Amino acid sequence: MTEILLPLISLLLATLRMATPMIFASMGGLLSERAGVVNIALEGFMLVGAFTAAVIAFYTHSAWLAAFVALGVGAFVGALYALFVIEFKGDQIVTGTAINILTVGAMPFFTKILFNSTGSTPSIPLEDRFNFEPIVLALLLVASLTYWFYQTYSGLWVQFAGEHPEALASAGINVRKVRWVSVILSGGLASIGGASLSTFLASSYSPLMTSGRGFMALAALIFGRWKPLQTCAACLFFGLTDALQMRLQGVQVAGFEVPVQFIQILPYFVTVIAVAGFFGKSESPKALGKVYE
Amino acid sequence: MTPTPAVEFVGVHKAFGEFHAAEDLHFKIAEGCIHAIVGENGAGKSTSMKLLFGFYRPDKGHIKVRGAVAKFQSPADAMTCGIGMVHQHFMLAETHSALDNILLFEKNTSAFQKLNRKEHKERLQNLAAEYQFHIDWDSPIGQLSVGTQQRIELLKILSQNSKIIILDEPTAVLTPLEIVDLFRNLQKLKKEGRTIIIITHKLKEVMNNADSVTVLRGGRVVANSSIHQTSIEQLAEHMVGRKLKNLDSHPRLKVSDQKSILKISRLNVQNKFSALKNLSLELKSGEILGIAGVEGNGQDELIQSLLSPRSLKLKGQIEINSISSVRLSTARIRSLGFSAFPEDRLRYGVLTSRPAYENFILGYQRSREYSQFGFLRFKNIFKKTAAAMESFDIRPRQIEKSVGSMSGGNQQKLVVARELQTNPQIILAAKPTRGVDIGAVEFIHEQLLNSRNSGAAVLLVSSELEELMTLADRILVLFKGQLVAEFDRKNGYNEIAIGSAMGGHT
Repeated sequence: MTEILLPLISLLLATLRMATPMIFASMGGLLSERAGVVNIALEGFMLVGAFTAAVIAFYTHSAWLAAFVALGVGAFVGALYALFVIEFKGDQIVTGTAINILTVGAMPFFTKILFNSTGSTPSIPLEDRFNFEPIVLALLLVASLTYWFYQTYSGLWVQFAGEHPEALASAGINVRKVRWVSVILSGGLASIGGASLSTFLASSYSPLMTSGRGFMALAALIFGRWKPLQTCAACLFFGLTDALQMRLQGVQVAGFEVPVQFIQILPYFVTVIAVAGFFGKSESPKALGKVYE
Repeated sequence: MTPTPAVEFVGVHKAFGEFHAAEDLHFKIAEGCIHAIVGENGAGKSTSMKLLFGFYRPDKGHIKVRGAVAKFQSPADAMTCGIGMVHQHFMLAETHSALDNILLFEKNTSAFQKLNRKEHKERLQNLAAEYQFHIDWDSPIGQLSVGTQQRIELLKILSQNSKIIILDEPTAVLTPLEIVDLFRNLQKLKKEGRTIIIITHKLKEVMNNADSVTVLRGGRVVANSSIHQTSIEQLAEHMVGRKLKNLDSHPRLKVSDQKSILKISRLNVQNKFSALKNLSLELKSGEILGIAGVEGNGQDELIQSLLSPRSLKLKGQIEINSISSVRLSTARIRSLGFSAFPEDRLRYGVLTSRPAYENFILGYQRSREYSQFGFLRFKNIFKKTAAAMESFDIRPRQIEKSVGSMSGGNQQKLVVARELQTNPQIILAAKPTRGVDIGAVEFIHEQLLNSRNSGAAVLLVSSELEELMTLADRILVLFKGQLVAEFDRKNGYNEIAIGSAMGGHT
């Protein structure tokens, strides 16, 4: 009995661990996109969060403080994005890409100043890292976001900002304000996702450590049809493929050892299939990506 | 002493850049009546109402609401003051329920307050019952009929207890029966003491339902009158600025050898939303065949299967002059003497950023007349375009002018001129007068009748009963992809019978 149960439980836990950063990021993406702002900058926000949290945890020995500061810095970068796309009406895809490239380029600059290296930050001791807390936080976030989204007035405002901004405006609500708040929160949440990478899954920040998780969070969002619970489920599914990928390394098929690189493709391959619409068409919010004058 | 009017415009000006949308507007709307604002496109109807509703602020002058000068900064301010507006394009999110769409407009709510759906649903159900509205509160709006959506918009306003209700072109998207229903409801609201303002260009509706009317032209008020002191002819004259011809007396020649020129037999099309089922019809030269129907009953599929059959999965046969066209390309079909005025001219009819002369040869650019050895023959093109602009009275008369800067009527006249230049045998006119001013409507109708008289066959697809009854020799009614009724001019048209057939009651 235990021979089957133990690997299953460990697979389940690994799934939850791998999904956690993506859940944070995809909930951030959900907020921004449901409010009508395309957010491909999630990857950049995550990277900022991962770096900030690693630095703060290293200096202060507090993972909680690290997560908190990462939230703030992520929100700041989110505000930067909001400024460019909402106020200056920049193209959302181009601006988002710019933020992604900017963060990749800026990180070595800071590591050089702080640690005189352009690579990873110093390792954070085990006792200063999270053990399981981010998983609980992520699931709590999904639950509270779901409630807030569907059961409160401001939740309705966010939905209308992305579906029919003119209707929202004619109800006397400031559409731009709603979008600003959503994008700032989006940056903060994705950044916490990044923090959970460097202070929970790994023990330091290393360059490009997000390895496309921001984009996978975006894919989960599309796969989950921009709905919180379904998006969370999509994240768990991607987490499962990630966990399986680790288990399958070194597996032999008909006497051949499957190359590690091939197995590592698995989560990304599944993402492509999922987003390509093999599981039914996904309807995006009507005003997604449209500038509100 | 006269009672204080509900709304009064006092010397209101509004300009957008160089364009004066409203100039020195003076008029009063009495409390508790139905008041119509009529005028052509761009006459300032919508602008004046958007000024009243707080979308815009007047540059000069002011608007009084119940005697007090209104200084609205936004529509929300106007709503607080008891003014509601049903927009032409409804302010409803299609993915959300009717309930959520109305809850959005609840006053005095704070951001994190819980949506009390149950309580509000009960309240709204009671309100709806008062007006005998049957509304499905929980389905997404997109699944409800346009008429129901409009009733939801009305309830939105009524739940705020607005005393002044503005409706922008409320009948444009409704079936004839829904229109009757709407006006019955408006009469009821009037009896409750509310003031109703409707923006429209349908004069018959004005005469039948309104108490008073203001006519705008070119941003100015040209007439203010009570409904008893005016007539359709007079209103039309005010709108256009000249007398209109009566097309009913336009000669209808009997074309001697009427041969069948377009034959559709057992056409079946399955599309994403609607479909055509076993549709058969025959179009003869020298006749105008009207296809009546409310939008979305298969018109688009019918038009598409005639013009670009390859883009559809269709079964059945279409013959143009005994040549089967279901496998042919659009260019080939057009070369068979087939011309079309597309319904959505901005998308399918013209290139708005290109000059008039390029638009005039669009689709005919390969003809010998306009090109030789792969080079355009500009001299010819310019000459022909200038001549067409003269004979079709297209303004401004500048062949270099971009089409986007012309009015809707002139754009459409250019399309008509282009499509008629080859003397086609079949003319497909899909809503040829949509968004076109009355002067141009009259002109386009006249052109269609002339083409008919000279032996062309016209397939007129429209949802405007008046247009169909004025022009068509026969009317077929399309409902849910099937032809459900046929009416013949010889027996006299019965407006009510056609209207009910369009709503599926035969």
